[in-house]
This record gives sequence, structure tokens and C-alpha cells, in this order.
Amino acid sequence: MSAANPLPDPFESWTVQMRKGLLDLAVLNALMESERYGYELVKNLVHVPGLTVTEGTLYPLLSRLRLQGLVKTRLEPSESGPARKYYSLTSEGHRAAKLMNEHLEELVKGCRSLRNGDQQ
Amino acid sequence: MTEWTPSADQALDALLERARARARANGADPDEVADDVRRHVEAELSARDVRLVTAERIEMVAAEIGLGADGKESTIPPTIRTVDHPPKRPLNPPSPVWIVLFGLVLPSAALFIEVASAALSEAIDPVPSLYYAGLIALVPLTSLLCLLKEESSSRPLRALLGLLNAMSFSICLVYCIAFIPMVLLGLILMPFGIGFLVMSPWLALLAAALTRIRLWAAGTLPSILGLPTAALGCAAGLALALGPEVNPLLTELVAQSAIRNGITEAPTQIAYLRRFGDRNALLALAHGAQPDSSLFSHYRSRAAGTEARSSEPMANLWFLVTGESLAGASFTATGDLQERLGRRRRAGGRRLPLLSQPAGDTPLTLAASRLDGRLEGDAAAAYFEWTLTFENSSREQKEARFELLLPAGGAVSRATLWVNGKEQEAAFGSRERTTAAYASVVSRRRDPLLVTSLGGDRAQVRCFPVPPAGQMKIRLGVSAPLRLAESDEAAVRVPRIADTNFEFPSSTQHEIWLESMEPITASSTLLSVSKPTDGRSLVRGSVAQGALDEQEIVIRLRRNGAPADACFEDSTTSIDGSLVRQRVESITFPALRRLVVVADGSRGLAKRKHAVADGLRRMEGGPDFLFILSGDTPVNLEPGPLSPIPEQFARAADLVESSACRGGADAVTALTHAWDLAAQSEASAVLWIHGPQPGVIRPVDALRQRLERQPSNPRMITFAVEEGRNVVLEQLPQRGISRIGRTEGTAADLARLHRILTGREPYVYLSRSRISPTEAAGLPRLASAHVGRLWAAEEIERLASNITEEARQTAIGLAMRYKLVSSVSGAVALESEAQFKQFQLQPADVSQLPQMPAAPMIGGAPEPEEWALLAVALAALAYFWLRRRT
Repeated sequence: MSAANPLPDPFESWTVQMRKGLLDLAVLNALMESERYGYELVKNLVHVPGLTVTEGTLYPLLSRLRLQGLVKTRLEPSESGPARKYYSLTSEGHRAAKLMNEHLEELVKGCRSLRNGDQQ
Repeated sequence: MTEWTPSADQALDALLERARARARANGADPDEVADDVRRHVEAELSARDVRLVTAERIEMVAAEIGLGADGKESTIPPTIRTVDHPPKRPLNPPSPVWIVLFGLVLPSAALFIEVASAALSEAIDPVPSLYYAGLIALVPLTSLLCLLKEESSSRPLRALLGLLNAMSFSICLVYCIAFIPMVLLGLILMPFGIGFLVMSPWLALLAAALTRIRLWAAGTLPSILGLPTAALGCAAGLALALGPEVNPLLTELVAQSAIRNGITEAPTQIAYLRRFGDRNALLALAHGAQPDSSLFSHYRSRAAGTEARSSEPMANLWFLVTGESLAGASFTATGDLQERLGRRRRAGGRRLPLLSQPAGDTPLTLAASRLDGRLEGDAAAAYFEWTLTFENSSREQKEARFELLLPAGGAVSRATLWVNGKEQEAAFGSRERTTAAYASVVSRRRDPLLVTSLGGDRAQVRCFPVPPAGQMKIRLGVSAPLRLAESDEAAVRVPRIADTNFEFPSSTQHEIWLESMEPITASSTLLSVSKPTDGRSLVRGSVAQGALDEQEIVIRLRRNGAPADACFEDSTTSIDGSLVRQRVESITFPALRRLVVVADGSRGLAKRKHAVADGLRRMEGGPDFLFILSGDTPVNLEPGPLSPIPEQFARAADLVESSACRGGADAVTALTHAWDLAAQSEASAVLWIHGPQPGVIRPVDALRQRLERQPSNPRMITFAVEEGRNVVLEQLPQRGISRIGRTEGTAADLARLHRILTGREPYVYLSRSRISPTEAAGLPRLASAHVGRLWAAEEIERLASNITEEARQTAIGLAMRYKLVSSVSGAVALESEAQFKQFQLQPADVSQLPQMPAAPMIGGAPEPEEWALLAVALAALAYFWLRRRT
């Protein structure tokens, strides 16, 4: 029975959860400086270990962020094919990214302090 | 250009559905995600320069972006994907401004200006019909749609955009070719703005190309049924723009081929033209013009030159193909915009002389029609007055033209034109003088009415001008003899009009009112019989033109107690105080030994072929009976045993009924052959049963020679089932040809004629002659306004058949004295006294013209003037009575 349903690797399971939680923030951060199109974001994220995504995952995420009012889009005719869709942060997106980054900082600090026993 | 296989289309649809599902699971907008994925796929394909997109290719891209069918993500690192390093395309997406200007605004403006002003239509007609207006409108509409929806992700919509854009492109291309002669002018005029209109096809073509580039830039244009939209759209556009050109062009080519080969030697071409030929193109060619309603008419005109060509062979071809009269043939509606707007008179792309205008596409209609008639039993004569009002809804003057089909032996004896609300009677003069007066006055665009004889109980009526958006009213009087059907019964066929260049609205009916002091009946239920209390017998009704044309309406009259021999005082005019003697005569023809019947197989017989067959079946006994049906090739009924057995008549009847009666028929060949067959026997005759013969297909020389050299045997007898022009008879000598005056319906008349020709029934007729008062002693003396005219009509034609000029002048003098339209005389009504004087014509005195008698007033109150007269009479009586008393 155990061979048929092995328990998931705890680390792998944790990284999946982490990736899910951080992906929104990673995208918002990637858009913090300038607007980017979809594949550009994929390329940016591939350099961050554990945050590699495909377009199949990214596009729904971007669509959700747009529905939440955090990003906006525009189409620009492309020399190389169909028009490109560029994503950029709205002011709400900037505010949300700032809050999320601050909160992440707090979380990381807290986790580290627990490891070092700082809180005691 | 990228092509998608159907399975690739399906694979993409499946991929997009998976993307939507994932979007829904993540709280995203499914359509937006699907659109993003589609754009990504297209970018990948474009970057890899994929020409043929297959399902495998789509699945590969789907796997790369983590949306594979198996749900597995790609193992290919994004850094080596090609989407970010595509090959450069040579063109940048053009600015939409040019498309708005040249693809939307300019073609719309050009279309509007051309329709409104017809500025270019004299040189090149860019909008020859509503159809082409629709084609042009497709260009700006397509530009607008592409601009609004170029970013759409809907594959059906993108396919439609691609298709419409390609259609628009090819339509512009066709117009560019049509406008080549205008290029130089357009370039010169461009600085003045107007040149942009001339150059609009080229600029619109450019805009269509720019639109295509923008569509490509916005995404892939899916194929339709596996075919690229560019190819499909171009093919469709060319078919739409050039389609209307094809059949007229083929018709012209085939017609010319038939003329070259000789129309009687070109059965294939004739069959093609009958089945597929473009009627308008053929009609235009027959009028010596070019086929029209075409974008390339100006090229044809340049190639053909500007002078009108001889159209006689084409006119004969027209008859052979259609069997119709050229004069009465109508152009079928083509949706010509300028014609509808009344800006030009079209006749196959070329302006024809005013008096040669063909019918069709005509805004000329008959607004009112009233036919009154009076039948006299004692005189065996009838007088009809037909009052017609024409209406012209166009913006230019029109000539109304038609043929008046008279009762047998009838003649036009009065013609009246309403000028400024007043009746202007026509002058009667020689045919040449009246025709010249008409042509001269028409050229100055004033009011004339002309009536001339066409022979064979037909008169042509022309009146001009029916003013723009106005009416013209005329009245025609017809004097006609009654034909003796039985000893105490006479009959007359109601006159009709045919070969008109105007139309009959459904609201316009012929209001027919015929009366007599003797009992009359009608052969048609369209007319009802009544008998008012004043002793008159009435037949009247409202009859549509179609019904009047279809039925042979005969009015019968009982000649109760009418004298068989009487003399008539001529109340209108007299010659040396003489009287006209009219008597019933009877003659029994010697029995024929051979009768050859030729039935016309042309379209002219179509309406009456069953009646003709019925007449043939009613025949019985008699001499040898041979039968020929004329057609493209004459069909001989094998004589078999040369005996007049009923089966022979029945077989002939079957042959007539089975005839297609399509197009014209070569009557001359059939008649010549029939004459040869008849000439083999003594006491023989050829009976030609025919409809109108508006054309002649073979020369008549051979037949003419036979009739001229041997007029007495066989006799040529013609029986017209339908009045109308007979060009064959016009070209044959009148001597030796007997025309049968029709009395009743076709079948009854045919059967009776057969009995007369075979000596089994006497031919009863009325003879008229001039006698002196001394000769008239002892004869009943009667009065009639018409018997003298009927004598004169016969005498004029007798004199006119004489070849001497003296006889002809005598005939003209008689016609002028009796005010009759005949083969040598005509009637013309002009607008003013000065015009009559200019042509040495004298309008007829109303007192010398026949008139419908006024209806009797029965039981009505006296009019004021009658009261006054009564009062004067009573006063006079009282005065004389008082004087006597004193």
C-alpha cells in the first residue's frame, strides 16, 4: 500500500507551495521597473531558482492580476509577427507590490530569527 | 504565407480550450488567456517561419508552454525557444491613416459623387448598375471592418476579414484596369483634388494592400476550407467584378460567329444564344450598338469605333434567336443607376437617334385607356375610338410608340392630339409628307402625333413628346367593316395594341364600352353584356392588356332584317353625287385538288398553337393534304397515302402542338418548298398559318420569282393567327396572295376556311361599289358615316397596288378626301397652325370626321338652354295664338 501511494517529498511539496505563494510577487517585481511582454517575463523568472514557469501558467496569473487591477496591458504591433501584449503595473499594483515585499521581508526575517533564536 | 491544416485548426481549438479551463481554475479571464495563448502560438510559428502548420506543431508549442494534451510541461528551457529571436520581417505595419483616407473616405466619396453627378459616365461608366455600386461599396466597408476588428482573436472573424480584404483588393484591381485610359488625366488633375477621384481605384488598391499587412501583423489569418483567404478572396472578387462581363462578351462573340457563318448555317450558335445568350447584349447588337451595363464598355466602343454599324444581319439574328419584333423588344432591367435617375437614355451603351429608341428600362407607361365602339347592323360597319394617356416618369422627353392592330379591313379614320388641354385634329396627307412633318417637328421637340399604315391591318402610332414627369393624351378613330359570319350575323374583332415601347401598370386597364342598336354579344367573359332601357345593346368591361392580348375578343351582332342589298348616302363626302352600294355576295370556290399547309413554328405562334391544332383537327375531307411545319429546319409531314383522312389532320395537329415555337423560324424555305409541292397539281393552294414575322431569315427571291411568274396556281393564302408585322409578306408581290380576314376565333376560322377552300361552303362577303343615283333607284337608301369610308379604304388599296404614279396620286387624293390612313397616306397632328402650313397640311375639319354618337338622354331634366328654348317656343305660340284671336 505504501508503495502504491508514497508520501510526497517534504521539500518538493514545500517548494511547490512556496512557488505558488511567491509567483504573484515575482511577477509584480519583474514589472516594477518597466513594462514587459509575456515571454520576457518567462525569461526573467527562469533565472530565479524555483520560480520557473511556462506561459501556460503565466498567462492565467497575469489575467488574474489584471482582473484584480494590479496590472494593465496594451497591444503593440510587432515587426516579427502578431501584436505583442505588454504588461505594466498600475498604481494599485505598485502599492500591492510594496506591501507584499515588506511583508515577505518580515516573514524572512522572522524565520531567520527563529533559526538563530534571536527572539528569545 | 502560412497555411493551416484542418487538424492543426482542431489542435489549436483544443489548446485554447485547455487554456480557458486553466484560467477558470485560477480565477482569470478565460477568453483573455485563450487570446494570449493564441497570440503566443502565432508568434512561435511566425518566429520559426512555419509555412505549413500541422497538429503536431501545435502540440509541440502547447507542450512548451505547459499546456500539452498530456498535461506535462516542456522540458525545453525557455532560453532556447525561438519566439524572442524571430527573423525580421521586411515591412512595418503601416499607419491606419492611409487606410482611412484611401480605403474608406476616398472610395466612399467617389461612389457618392459618381452616383450623384454621373461625372465620369460619359467617358467611363464606373457604376453601370446597382450591382457595381454594391461592389464599390464593399471596399470602404471592408476597410472599416478591418480597422475595427484587426486585433480580434476570433478565428472565423479573422478568416472573414482576410477574405473580404482579398476581395476588396481584386475589385480595386479590376477597376484599376478599367481606369487605365484615365490615368494621365487623373495624375494631371491631382493637384486640383479632382484627380484623387479619378485615381481612387489605385489608391484604394494601395489601401487594401496596407490593410492586408496590418492584418498579418495582428495575427495569423486562418484558412477557409483549407484554402488561404488571399487566394479565395481574390478569386471571389474577380468573379464578382468580371462575372457580369462574361455572358455579354460570349454572346457577342457567338453572335458574330453566327453572322460570319450565316445565321442559317450556325445551329450550334443559335442553340447557345437561345439557351444562354444575354438578351440585353443581343438586343443592343441588333440595334447596331454595343452591349452595355459593363465596366469595360469604353474599351469595346474604342475597338468598334464611334460610327453605328449596319445591324441588319444582327436584327435578323435577333429574330431567329428570339422570334420577337425588334421594335417592341425591351431591355430587361439591369439596375442602371443613371437610367433610373433619368440622366441618360441608354441603348446598349450608345446613344441612339431619338426615334430609334428601343423599349425597355422605360419609365413610360400607359396611364389610362378608354375604348369606345359603335356597331351598325344595317351598314355592317363599326367605329371605334381609342383614347390613350401616356405618362413619363423620367426627367427627359419620351416618344410613345406602338402598333394598332385593326379589325380586318379597318382603317384609322381619325387621330386627335391634346395640346395644352385642347383637342387638335390630325391632318391627312401623303405618307411621305406626314412622316416628314413628324420627323421635322420631333427634331425641334414639339408636339406631333403620327399614324401610318404598316399593312396587314396594322397601323403604327408615334407621339412625341411625352413630357418629363408629365402626360400626353391621344385619340384614334378606327372605321372597320363587320364580317358576315352567318347570313344574319356579323362579327368584328376588337382592336388591340401591340409592340409598345411603354409598359402597362397593373392599375391601368382598358375600359371597353361597345354598343349597338342591334343585339350584340362578346366571345369573351371579360366583357359583360347588358341592355339599357334606351334600346341600345351594350358590351363592356375593364380588361388588362395581358388578357386583351391573350384572347381573341370577337363581338357578334344580329343583323335582324338588314337588307342584303342597299345603297348608302355618304354623309361625309361625296364623289359626283354618287352613292355606295353594299350588298351581300356569295361565292363558292372550285374545289382544290391539293392543299399544302405551312404552319409557322416560330415564337409568334406559341400563344395560338393549341387553337391552330384544334382548327386542324376540325378539318375534314377535301383534297390532298400536305403539311409543313417551318422551323430551324422545316418538318414535312409525310404525306403517306395522299388521302384526306382524319388521321392526316390529327398528325398535323400533333406536330403543331409538339412544336417548341422558340425563336424565329425560316418561313421562306418552308413556303418555297410548299409552293413546289402544290405546283405539282392543278387547282392547288398553299395555306400559310402564321404569327407575326418581324424578321426574315433567308432571302425571299426564289419564292418571289415563283409568285411573280405564276401567280394563279397555286394560290397563296395567308392566315394570321396573330396580327403583327410580316416582313416576309412585305417582300412578296401582293398579287397572287390572299389574306384571310379574321372573323372569329382561330380554330373556328381555320375550319371554316378549309370548308370554303374545298368548295363545301360558300364564301359570303359584302361588296361595295360606287353607283349613280339612277342606278340606286329601287334600292333601299340608308345613311352611314362609315360605309363610304370602307369603300374608300378598299379603293385606295386597289389603286395603290397599281404601279402607275397617276393611280397612286388618285389613291392619295382619295385618302385625303376621306381622311384615312392607308398604305399611301398618313395622319399627323401638329401643335400649331403655323406648323401645318409649313408642311402644306390642313388639319381635318371635325365635322368631316367620324364621331361616337352621343348617348341619348332618357328621362333626364332639360338643360338650362333647353328650358330657354322651350320658353321662347311657348312665347311664340302664345303670340301667334293671341294674334289669331285678335
